[in-house]
Amino acid sequence: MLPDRAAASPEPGRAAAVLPPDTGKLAGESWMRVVVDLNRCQAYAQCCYAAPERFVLRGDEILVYDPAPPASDRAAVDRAVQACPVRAIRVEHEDAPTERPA
Amino acid sequence: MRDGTIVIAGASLAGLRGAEALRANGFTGRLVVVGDEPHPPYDRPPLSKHVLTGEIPPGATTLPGVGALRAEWRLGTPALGLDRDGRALHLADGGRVAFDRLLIATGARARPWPMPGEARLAGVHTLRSRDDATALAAGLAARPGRVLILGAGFIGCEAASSIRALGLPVTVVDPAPAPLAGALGSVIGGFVAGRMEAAGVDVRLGARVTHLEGDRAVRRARLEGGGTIEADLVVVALGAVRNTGWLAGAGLDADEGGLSCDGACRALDAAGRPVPGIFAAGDVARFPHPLYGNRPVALEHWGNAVAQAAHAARAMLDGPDSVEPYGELPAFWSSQFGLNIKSLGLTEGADAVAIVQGSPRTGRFLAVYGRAGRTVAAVSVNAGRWLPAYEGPIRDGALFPPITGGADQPRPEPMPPGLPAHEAA
Repeated sequence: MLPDRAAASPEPGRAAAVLPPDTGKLAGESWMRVVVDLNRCQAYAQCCYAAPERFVLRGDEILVYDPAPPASDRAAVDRAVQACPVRAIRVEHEDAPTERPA
Repeated sequence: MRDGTIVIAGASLAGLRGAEALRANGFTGRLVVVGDEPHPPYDRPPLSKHVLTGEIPPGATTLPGVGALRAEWRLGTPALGLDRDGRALHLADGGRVAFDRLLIATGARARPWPMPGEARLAGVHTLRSRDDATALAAGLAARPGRVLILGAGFIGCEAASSIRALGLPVTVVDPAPAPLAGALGSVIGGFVAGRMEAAGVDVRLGARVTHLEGDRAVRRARLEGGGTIEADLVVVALGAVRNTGWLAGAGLDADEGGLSCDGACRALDAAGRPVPGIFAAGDVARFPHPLYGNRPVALEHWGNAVAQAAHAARAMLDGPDSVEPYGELPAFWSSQFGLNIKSLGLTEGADAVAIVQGSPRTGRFLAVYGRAGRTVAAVSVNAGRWLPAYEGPIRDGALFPPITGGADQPRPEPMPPGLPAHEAA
């Protein structure tokens, strides 16, 4: 979902069909959940080396990341989490079934 | 107290992180999370950035942490009222949820355009929720002839940056003398204004829109003192109001500026006394900040939602006397126009700002804010690694400026920061 780094100005809505809006999932494929604490992030860019498809630095220090990478990228995203020198990246691999209202 | 029923009103970042902290600290009882939106907790910062540019779909912003909570989710079900004595929430679906302890984390909503008829015109947007961002992104995909943004705060400026990146013409109108003036002052805001203009934004400062006009859809904005701006998409970015209306009649000290709470995150009643078993965290919580003379503050900061929710969870489980008064150093970030802006501390009431490292000429600098000769805040622009060094001086109220002889700034020259006049305390 992150544009390739050469694309300066993506078409509006170009990625809008990638995930259905509420579930964040496509049938049969599972997705990780990633969030980066950008107060903590110091733009060391180790995640960008570990998972270049999912983490990109723009300009000097603006980190752009894919908050819902496909499960097939698990190894790379885990490497990014481990590589972060300030421990700013959190990932959740599985959506446990959400309990229904009682 | 690690059993019983805890209800969390609010299913955004503070509600989610509060729920996680309760479980992490051993709460084994029943946990109910009530949210007015139908979505599971999601991350807001991308909404004004990469969601608007279409790089991240709105549905991808769901936060990690939802899966393992063992919680009952009542999503799409706003809380309508609090029965304080009966220890229960009334929900919009007619349901009633009893609690032993309650965490109020209902956050804030976008301040609407004040004229409701004009706000209903097609093409007039606010930007706070995931649905807001989805609707705005769809409006942008129709390639409007000009986008008008009302308000040059962080949301307005980030939206302007994202929409310019789509190649659309953008005008930003704000009565202040600079963008971000309320938070950073017109000195640093003036630097940002230069970047906005360089990016092709039509920046109208010291200007005020009085009316939005159009038949069914917005077509133009009328300016105070005459003149119009033609625009077929408008983003109303006039700040936020706290979601406390549902607490009316509960006898709590709550208004559009927040729900008052104490250092243990306990909600206060109208007489200022803590209410047993009712806590608050996140954007909605107005708390006395120990680093700033216990001045009541309500912070719309991502980091505050996380830290305060965890603090509230500890106080809920171990008792309010078991925690120190909540005093997380305020911190936030913003990215726009190629700038990464990070902040520590509170600039409100500062009487001086000095650039102590780097230089606006190079586009990379660190500014420190002082009040009555003491250091109260620091802001980095594309210099985030320099910022943590100022946490200590801010916490300690070190003499201002806290350093001299920094890179590019051998003799920092303090100047008035250009912050809005401080309201009477």
